[in-house]
Amino acid sequence: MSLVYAEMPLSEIILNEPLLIPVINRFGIILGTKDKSVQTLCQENNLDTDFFLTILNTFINDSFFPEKRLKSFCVTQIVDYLSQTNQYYKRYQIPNIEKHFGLLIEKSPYKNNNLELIREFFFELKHELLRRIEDDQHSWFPKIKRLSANVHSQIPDFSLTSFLKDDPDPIEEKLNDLKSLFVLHLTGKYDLNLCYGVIFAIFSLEKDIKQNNRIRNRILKPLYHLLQSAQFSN
Amino acid sequence: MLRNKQIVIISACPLYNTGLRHVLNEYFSAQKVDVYNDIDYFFNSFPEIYDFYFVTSDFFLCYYDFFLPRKSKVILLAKDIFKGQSISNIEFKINIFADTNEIIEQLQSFFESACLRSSNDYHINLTPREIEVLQLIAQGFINKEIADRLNISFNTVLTHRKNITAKLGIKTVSGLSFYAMMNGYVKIDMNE
Repeated sequence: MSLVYAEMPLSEIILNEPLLIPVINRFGIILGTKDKSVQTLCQENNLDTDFFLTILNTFINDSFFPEKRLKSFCVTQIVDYLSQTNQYYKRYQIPNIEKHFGLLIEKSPYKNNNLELIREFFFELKHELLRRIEDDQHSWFPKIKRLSANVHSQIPDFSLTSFLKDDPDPIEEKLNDLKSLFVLHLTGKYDLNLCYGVIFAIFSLEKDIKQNNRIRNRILKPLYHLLQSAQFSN
Repeated sequence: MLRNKQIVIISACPLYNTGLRHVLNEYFSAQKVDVYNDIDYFFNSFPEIYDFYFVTSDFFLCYYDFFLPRKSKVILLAKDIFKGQSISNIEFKINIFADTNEIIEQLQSFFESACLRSSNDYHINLTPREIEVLQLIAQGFINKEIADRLNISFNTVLTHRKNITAKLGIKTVSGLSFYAMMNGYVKIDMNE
């Protein structure tokens, strides 16, 4: 999809890319935006238009990642966004998959052991994701905010290359395996429509997590390391 | 044609990359095309996962050790396709100055032969040895222990694991364990 701009009506953007609905929701914007532009809605909701647009654009375009612009936002703003994203997973997206999964198993005309096994795998993934969210909320994010409040000197511009040697993200890997278990290896009878509902919810969570990880790994982690070193040199 | 294939384009020129990605999306229904303008980013991500690598000749030559073993998956983006001894090892080259129709025809013939190759060697069924390795993974053994138990080398275990993952599309230990349970390779114990 093409990039979106401040003057465009948000409704037009959402009609083209409905996967953005959870993203606008976590900024406090809900459906029924009439023909209001992004800028107007940002003003009404007290949001930084630039930040909002950057998040929308990185979400809808996998290959678009404006590092310089993202680095220019204040650390607290990025942390707050990721924090809201985490809460969204916890309150809506994970329970949504769980609910559909429950229905899928309940409504299957015959007992399907494979579906129950795949659900067990999903539970494992869910616990891992919730653990990471807890750690973010209670340890990592507060630490970054404290560091950011204490460091008053300018953070030097940084090269991202040195920060990209992360191990593969275990949550993304498990989400991918979960999709493979469904798409490649599911056997037995089941309700096709409910199964589609579960898979769609998994794909939607995966897209969101990939986006979240790009911001975590390529922006927040480098900033965190720089804040730590800046604190030592203060 | 390329619906399930993972493709990567590695070249320092963003405009070439965008154009090539457009051609792959439009004419070959490629859905997963990653683009790297910077080779360091490429190597710091997951460089082994791709089915096809579009790479410029200069990057190919600089990272010969990585690309040569994958030469059947490499399509070279060359300015002068006749230059260079090492490059002559690569069967598929595209002259980036050729016109669009010529490029589409070249890509068509490459993908047709590549898909034919892969349909001949692709079997989702695991070999008996791979099943043994999978059973041990599902029981929680680490690579060294699997090597000792099956009396094979550590590297052979790694090769089996890589093949299992490629065949099943499952990478994590717990994903593989659940697959093993679903297919009766290990006992199901949902209460654990």
